[in-house]
Parts: sequence; C-alpha cells; structure tokens
Amino acid sequence: MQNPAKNISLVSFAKGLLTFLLVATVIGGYFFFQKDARQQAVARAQENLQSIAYALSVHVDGTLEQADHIGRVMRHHYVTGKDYAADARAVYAELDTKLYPQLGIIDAKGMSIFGTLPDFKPLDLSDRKHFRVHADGKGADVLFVSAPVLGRASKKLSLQLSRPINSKDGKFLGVTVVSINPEEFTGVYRKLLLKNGIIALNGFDGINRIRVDSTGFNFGNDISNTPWFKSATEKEQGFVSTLSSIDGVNRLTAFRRVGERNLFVTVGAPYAEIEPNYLAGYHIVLPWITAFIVIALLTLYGMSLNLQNLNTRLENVNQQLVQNVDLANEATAIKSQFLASVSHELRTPLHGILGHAELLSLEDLPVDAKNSVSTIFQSANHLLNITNQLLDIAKSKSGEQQLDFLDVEIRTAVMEVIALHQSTAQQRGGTITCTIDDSVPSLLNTDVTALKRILHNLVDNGLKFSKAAPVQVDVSRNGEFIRFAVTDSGVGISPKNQKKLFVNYVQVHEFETREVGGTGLGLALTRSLVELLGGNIGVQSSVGKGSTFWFNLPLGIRPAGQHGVGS
Amino acid sequence: MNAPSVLVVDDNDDNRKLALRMLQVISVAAADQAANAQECLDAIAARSYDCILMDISMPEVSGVDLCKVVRNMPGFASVRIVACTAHAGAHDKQRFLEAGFNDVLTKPFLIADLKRAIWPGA
Repeated sequence: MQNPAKNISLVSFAKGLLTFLLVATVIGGYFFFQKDARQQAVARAQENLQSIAYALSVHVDGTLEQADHIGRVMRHHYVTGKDYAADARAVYAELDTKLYPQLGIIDAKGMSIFGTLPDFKPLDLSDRKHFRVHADGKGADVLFVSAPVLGRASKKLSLQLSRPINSKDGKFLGVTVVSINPEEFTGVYRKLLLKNGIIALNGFDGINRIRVDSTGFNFGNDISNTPWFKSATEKEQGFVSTLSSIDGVNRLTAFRRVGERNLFVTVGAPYAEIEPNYLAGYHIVLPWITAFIVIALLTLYGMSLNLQNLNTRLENVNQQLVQNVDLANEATAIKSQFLASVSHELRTPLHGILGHAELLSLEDLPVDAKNSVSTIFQSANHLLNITNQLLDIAKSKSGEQQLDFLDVEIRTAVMEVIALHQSTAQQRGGTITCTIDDSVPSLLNTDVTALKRILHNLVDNGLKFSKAAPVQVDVSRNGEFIRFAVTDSGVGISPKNQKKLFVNYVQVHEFETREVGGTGLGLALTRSLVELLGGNIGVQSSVGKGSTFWFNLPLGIRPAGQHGVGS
Repeated sequence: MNAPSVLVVDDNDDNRKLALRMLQVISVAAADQAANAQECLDAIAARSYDCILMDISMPEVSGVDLCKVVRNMPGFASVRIVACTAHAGAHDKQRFLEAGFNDVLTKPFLIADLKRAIWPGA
C-alpha cells in the first residue's frame, strides 16, 4: 500500500507549483502586454503628433510666406515712390481681416507712418522688437516674426511679421509690418489636440512665439534652457519628452522645423493621456481575466479538495474493510476458541456420566434401573455428539481439521456405524438395513474418522425422522466415486428448505414442528467433512414420503491410483 | 502379554475412582493411584508398572511435563504412558504423542477404549 501522506504532500506540491506558474504567467503576461501596449500607444501617438506637427509647419510656413509676400509688395511700392498707401489699402481690402488685422510701415526713426486701421495715427514704435531687429540688423533682408504683442493701435494681440526696407545703396529706410491674429493661426490645430495637449511655435532664438494649451494662450517664454530645446533645434523633425515648466505636465512632443525658417513647431500630448487611451481595453479586460483566473484556481483547488476528500473517504472505507476483515477473522478465532473450550469443559463431566453409566450397565440391576441407566447413557452420548459437533465446527472453521488418508475397509466402517445405532433403532421400533453393492471395492483411501462421522450424522438424522419406519443405507459404485445413501421414510423436506439444509446453525421449519432437536450444525458439518474428503453431498426428498441423503467419495485420490480401486 | 499393572495419575478424585473401577472391569493385574506429580514419582520409585494412565490438566506439574520427566528417567524409556484428557483439539493428540505419550485417550471414553489403550495386545 502506498503512503497516503506522501501522496498528499506530492499533490500539495504539484498544486502549489501549478498555482505559482499560473499566477506568474498571468502577471508576467499582463506586464508584457502592458509594455507592448504602451509601446504601441506611444508609437501611434508619435505618428499622430508628427502628422499634426507637419501640417502645422506647412500651414505656418504658407501663412508666413503669404504674409511676407504682402509685406514685400508694400515695400516695393514704398521704395519705387508710387502711392504706396493707396496700393496697400487695395491689397488689404482683398485680405481676410480676421487673419491679418492690419498692415503698416515704420520709417527709419521708428515712427509708424502708415496703417490700414481706419483711425490710423502715427505712433512711435522705435522700441518695438520687430523694428529694432532690423534697425540694429545691419541691413540683413530677413523676415522677423515677433511674439504676439498687444497692438498699441489695434489693442489686440498679434504677431508682427516685419521686413526691412533698404534703399538701393543699402540705406535703412524702415520696415514693413504685417500683423497676424494668432487665434486664427492656431485655432484649427487646437481642435486636433488631446486634452492637456499643446501646440507651440518657437524660434531658434529660444523664445516661443505662441504657445496654446487647454488653459489658454501665452508667449514670449524663454525656452532656450529647457532640456529638450537643443534636441529640437538640431534636427528637422523628431520627438522630445517635455516636462513643461509652465503647467508641470510631462508630454510626448513632436517638433518640426517650419520650412527653411528659424522657427519650429511643437505638438505635445500628455503621456498620461496617451497611455490610458490605448490601455483602456486592458483595464476593462483585466478584472475579467483576474476573475476568471481566480475562479479557475478556486475550481481547481475545489476539485482537488473533492478528490482529496474522495481519496480520504476511500482510504477510510478501505481501512474499515480491512478492520472488518480483521474483526471477522478475530470473531471466527474467538468463536473457535470458545467452542473448543466449551467442548473441553463439557467432556470432563460427560466422562463421569458416561463412565459410571457404563459401569452401572454392567451390574445386575432390576429392569427399570437398567432402562434408566441406558437412558442416562444415551442422553449423555447425545450430549457428547453435540459437543463433538461443536468441536468439529471449531476445527473446520479454524482450518485445524486433521485428516489421515488411509486404506479403509468400507464394509467394516459402514457396519460399525450401523451397529452403533442399531440399539437406538430397535428402541424406537425401527430397523436399519444395509445394502452394499458387489461393485464396491473393499478398500477406500479416505479418513476413517471423518467417514464414520458423516455416516453417523446421516443415520442419526434418518432415525430421528423415521421413528418406527426403517432406515436404509445403500453403498454403491458411481463411476470413480463410491456413493453412500441414507434413506428415511419421514416427513420429507420441501425444495425450499432443502437449500437451507447444509448451512450452519440453520434448522428448517419441519424439524422444529416435529420437535426434533438439533443444533443445526449436523448437516453443515457433514457437508464440510464430505468436501474435505473430496466428495459432494445432496438430498432427494418429497414431502410426506421421506428423504435420501447421499454423498459421493472419490476412489483412490490419495495417493492417486495406488489404493482403493478393485475388490 | 499378561494383564498389566497400571498407575492412575489424576488430581481429580472422582476421575481417579472412575478409572480404577474401569480398570477393575478390565481385570488388570494391579491398579494404584497418584494425585499429583510427586505421588507419581514416589509410586514408580516404589514399584514398576506396565502402564501409567496420566491426566494432562493437573496443577503445578502438567501431564505433559510429568510424562517428559518420567520418560527420561533410567529404565522408563519403554514404559507405556497413556494420556487421559478432555483436550480434543485438532493438534492436541499430536502434541501429546510428541511429548512422549504412547497413546491418547480422549474423554469421555468407554471401557473398551481404555482396554485398547493400556493393553494393546489383548
């Protein structure tokens, strides 16, 4: 038998290992997919941001180009000495005034000498950056894009795009100014942004021109010292992570240079919004996966518990069975021991009774006394038979039945048994007749004590039921067997009761009503003795006519073929 | 063989008396009795017996042990010793024969059985 404790610990270990592997797989898988999803989310965000940045840069470039073109036309008219003011107004009339709030010209001293605003008045703008750049710029013909400024004339925020006006000999004559409304400039792109996203137009000079986020609008911040500024100005396009000093948000930011200009646009989206957007699916699925795993584990654990319970119960049942078998064996041993000791304790007084009865029977006694002594003797003898049956049952149950197989004179053995019962039969007014067929050999290899016991039991039974009627004993040859049959002319036994006959302790009904005593051991013991001798036993009976109990004993089974056959 | 002289060894008084009366019926040459091992040893020292009829269940010294003692005494190797017992278990007879008894009489027994046991040639 295997050690159950060892099995259980193995099962526990396997279960633990399985659980660990499952949990590790789930957690590992979660992080793997999360990482993968994060990378995918960032990649897609980069794609989107770069697209916006590209569109923005093209738009900015185009808008600036258009604005610059307007400025150059104005400059041309101004330099060639035509009626530049009338021409400028004509051009301005064709423009989108929301995008271009005004056009203007500043002279070499910084005074605005022309503007398209209806109530234009000359103003000193010599301190304005979009003038100073050019006035101090050694005549370089470049477009300057200012940060949004609050127009002193328009009272509105606008970007000032300025170009210098130089004479043919290189003398600085002033600047042309084209104002652009930053709201119009960036409005479209704001709609493309994620919440807390930004777009910005920055200069290589480190000053941002426009910065728009969901909270609003600012400009003129110095971004030259930010960690990402250098990276964003070294390449045409790319990505930087920006931790904004303005709103403190960490963003993924795409940058792109605006055409050939010293400007670049940035488009940023908060990481916090990129990742959840793309991980949202996992966040929804994860609780379900977790629930599934937990249920699966619980189910597995429950099943193994059930199996363990089943195993435990089976082992209990097994143990119970083993215990029951032990108990049964023990009970049999106790019963046999009890029967043996009862037998021993009965024998001593029986010896006294039988011994003295025999001695008395030898005395010259009056007839009544002689009969009494005879009855005492027979009664005690009957008691002895029962005692012997008990002991024989004990022997057969404990496997202690000892048999001595010898060549037995069949006729002698049979006649001895009949002689023992003859007096009993005569007292009842009956007889015992015996027929031994000539085909029966003289010797049979068997145990003589057992053979006599069997015959004795059957004849005794026959006499009980026949009363005054004769009992017939027949011995004949039946193939390789000797058949012994004892026929009585008693009440007979019903087929139903015939089946019970050879069972221990069972007395069939007729026996009781007939007031015929018995332990119910006789036939059962007889049967086991017959079987010990290698034979079989049976009964033929019809109610009211009598019964024939028969048994077959094999010829010469021990030692085979050497004895017994022949006469 | 002439009628044997017999010593009956049994702690039970009734049993001894019954045995002696049965021996009387058989007409043995002599029948003495001993109630325990010591009396048995004293008796066989006083005279010789052809047969000792010995009970098995006796206090102090059992018939089995007494038989072994007697059997090993000088001159007693061939003396007939018959066990006389109510022990009828399957292995009892074999056990007694191995202890040195010549035959075993299982109680109850008839006078004829006793005669066969103590006087086999008769």
